[in-house]
Amino acid sequence: MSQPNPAQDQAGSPLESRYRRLLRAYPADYQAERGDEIVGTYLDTVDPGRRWPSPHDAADLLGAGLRERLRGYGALGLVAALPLAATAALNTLVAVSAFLLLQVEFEDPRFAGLDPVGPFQTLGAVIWLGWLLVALSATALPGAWARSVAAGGLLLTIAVPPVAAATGQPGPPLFVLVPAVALGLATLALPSHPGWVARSLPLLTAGCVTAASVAFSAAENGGNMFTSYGSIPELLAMAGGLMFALVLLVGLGRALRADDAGLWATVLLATPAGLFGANQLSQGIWGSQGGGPTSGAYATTTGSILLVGAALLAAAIAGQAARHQTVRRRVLDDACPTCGHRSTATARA
Amino acid sequence: MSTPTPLREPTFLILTALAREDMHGYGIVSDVAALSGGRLALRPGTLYGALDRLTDEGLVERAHEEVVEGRLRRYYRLTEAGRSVLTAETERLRGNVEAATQRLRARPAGPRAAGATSRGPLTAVRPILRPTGGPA
Repeated sequence: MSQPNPAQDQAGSPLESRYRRLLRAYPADYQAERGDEIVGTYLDTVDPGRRWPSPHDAADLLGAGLRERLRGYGALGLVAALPLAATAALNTLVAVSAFLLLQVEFEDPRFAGLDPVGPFQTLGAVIWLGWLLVALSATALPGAWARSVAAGGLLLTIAVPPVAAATGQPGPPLFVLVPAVALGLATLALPSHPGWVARSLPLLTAGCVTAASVAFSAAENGGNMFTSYGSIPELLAMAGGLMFALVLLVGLGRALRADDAGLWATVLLATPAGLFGANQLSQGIWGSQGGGPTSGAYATTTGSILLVGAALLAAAIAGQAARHQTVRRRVLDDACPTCGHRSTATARA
Repeated sequence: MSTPTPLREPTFLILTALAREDMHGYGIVSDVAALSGGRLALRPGTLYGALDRLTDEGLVERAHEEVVEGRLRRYYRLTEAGRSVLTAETERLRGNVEAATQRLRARPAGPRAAGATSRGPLTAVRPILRPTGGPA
């Protein structure tokens, strides 16, 4: 990389066009001002003969474009919130996984009326074991590796239902899988350099839930409150609510120190928290049929929660953008009362 | 968003690259790779985002631009504020390095010597296993 590539080799090439297409991730005025410079630097650095941007290049440009847009809205706190949201999502998934494994998957399959999958009630056990493995990796491995293992956990969560359908084995119901996938997506932003708290929490959470489950089983004294996935919708709704409340508390605490990342994390996790309660909400709105909501009612409720979550995020960004514009205008318009100086530092932002 | 203290490594190396002379994007990418022994490969999207942030914070400014073989080259330079921040961070890191160097020099020659003084020369020295990230 000591000498840039000759310009004539790539001027107007398909590669340059493809880089320019990726630039559309940036705001239009930024593209106009910096597009030539960014694409020129890319063309300087790529291997000769390359025809397509690499996946890393594409991720770099799309991520940088998104950050630039958020920066324009004064909403960079959303980017800073991702590792916090990912940590909260992982710990919630770990708690749910440990609970479902111990209280449902290991239960006698006759309770659920299913053909067992080995020692488990359903293939869902593979998913929950997978997320416990992610917890272990988040504790012991570097952040980038933990993210890769989390991506594996997410793929496993998505892959199990079709595998279960294809093999005729029982799988976990959608009202458990959908919020698990939403939280799994959030874990892809696990921090690159987690602190000791973020490293300790997953195993601590798994340990606490395991201890609570064992204590609960002992206290039941032969009774069985949780016997199948059909007996846990209320508990899932409570788990979602608890996650939301804890992240909101952290967010409010950080907001006192002028750090809005926690509040953005709350907005990001509102949708997965809502999805945990989709089953209960469906039954509350549409009524139940055979102990649960109909597929159509659940799909409608889930779709509504996704739309409301997206609208909430859009409204938060729009509100932040309006506030940012007002502050900028005031800074640019107001002269210093002492010397009359007008700021130009933020004119570009 | 202000530059966090201590500086993150990419920020430190970008400022270091600009400390000697004004540079354009490709020059900074190459210099940061060389300074980090090839470990840190900045991609242009990330680089220009960082340069924008550092420009907003007054640590870096645009110097001049030129067109070479039809390709725009915009040069960046370190401001006085940027030089001060880089100097302060360098002093902080130097202090850490000196403290670590002194501790390492003060350490006895090796585990055999330490074992010999406490347990006698024939005592086997067991390795001490600690969890990752625990106190050394």
